[in-house]
Amino acid sequence: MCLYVKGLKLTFSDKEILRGINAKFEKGLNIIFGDSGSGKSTLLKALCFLLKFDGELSFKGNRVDERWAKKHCKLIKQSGFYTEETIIDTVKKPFEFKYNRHISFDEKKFLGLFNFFGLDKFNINDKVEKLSGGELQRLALIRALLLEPEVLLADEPTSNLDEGMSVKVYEFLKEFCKNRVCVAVSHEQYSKDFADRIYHLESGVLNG
Amino acid sequence: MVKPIGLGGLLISYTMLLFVFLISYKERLKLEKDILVSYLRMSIQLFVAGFVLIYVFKFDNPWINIIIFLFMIFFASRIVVERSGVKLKNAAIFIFISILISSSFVLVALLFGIIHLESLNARYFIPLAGMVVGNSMNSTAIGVERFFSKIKDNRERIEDLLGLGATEEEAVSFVRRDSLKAALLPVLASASGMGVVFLPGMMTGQILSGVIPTQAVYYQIVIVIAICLTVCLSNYLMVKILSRKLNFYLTSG
Repeated sequence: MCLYVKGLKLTFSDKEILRGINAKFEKGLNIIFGDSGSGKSTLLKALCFLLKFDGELSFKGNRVDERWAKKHCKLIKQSGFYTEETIIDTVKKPFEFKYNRHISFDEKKFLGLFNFFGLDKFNINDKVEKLSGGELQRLALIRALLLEPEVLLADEPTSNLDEGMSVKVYEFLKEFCKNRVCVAVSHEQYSKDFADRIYHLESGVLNG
Repeated sequence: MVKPIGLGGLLISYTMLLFVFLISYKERLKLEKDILVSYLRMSIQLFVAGFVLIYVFKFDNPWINIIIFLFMIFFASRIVVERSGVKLKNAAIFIFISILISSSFVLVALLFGIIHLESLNARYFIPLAGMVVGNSMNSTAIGVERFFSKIKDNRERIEDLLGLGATEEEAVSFVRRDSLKAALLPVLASASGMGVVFLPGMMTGQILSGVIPTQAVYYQIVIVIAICLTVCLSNYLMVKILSRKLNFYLTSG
């Protein structure tokens, strides 16, 4: 199982942000490091077809497209967002999507993660606006984990968390990613301890 | 019967506009030119419409009536695009389709199901179509403006949902909800104020021309409900079409 990236180029306003990325992201936790503005977030967005790019992506040996990404690839953004009123509705929302209908919502598993990531001081029917930035980020993480994607992309998944909670998140991710391809972007040095492979993105070029 | 106003009455009415003009000048609203152009345009348009209506009622040809109806929607769509400042390609066509389908459906029910007309009689069809299309235009302008401004303000949220597998239509469902509400609320507010805060234009017109107020009420209730349904349908169709036509590939990373 591997996500293969071939010649991925992305240009914005005549500026080349990604300059022909070639990479083989294998099963496990792949972490990309890089300075701000090096194109890390852009690369993750391209990997799940949220951005138009030149190049080719294949998974398990087959060329993949946007439809595949909608079904099998999920992106966790740097901050948690919500459009529904309550915590439970926010978490359940992606299960209503056409491409996620094959996945059923496992409430037991959700409650387990909810407690594990320290959100159990809230009731699941509480208004989501009560949550702080860090709590929202954990909720966003739980939401993506429940969808059990084959490819999980995480953009600075611990940027709003303290070090203790960040370590807990990476420990969990390391275990979670054993049977799937995970690509995370990070700038925290301690995350290196949990990575199966480390990459560096510099001026739009990825070095493994 | 209603007493004719005449040219003198019109002139007095125009002088009332002078106060608006003066306030605009004093408060530096810079709307003087807009006031002049808008009311000049309105007067010319109404005079032409009055003149044309004489012949439209005289000929009373269903095909001519339908062409006028299509013209109304064409101009309404253009005005919605202008007012909402929408830049999406073909937006006017999508708005035209939304207003056309919704107002046709409601007008057919109204004219043949409630008023029991035997043919597309111009004296009924044109004024009622004008009211339905006009209200639909106003609300659609609000709905379209809200739809695009909300999308602009919530790009990250939408992108978040897209990243979790949502289609573009699914990712903007909360925007759709909000624009539909924004379009419908003024119609609901206006309905609640009718009869207590104000007498609506159509009812006032009928009373002035000698119709018994209780009879005018029947017409007014029917038209207010018809307007509400058209507003709801046209905005629902419009946001449905627009959310399918959007392209969320972001231009920056």
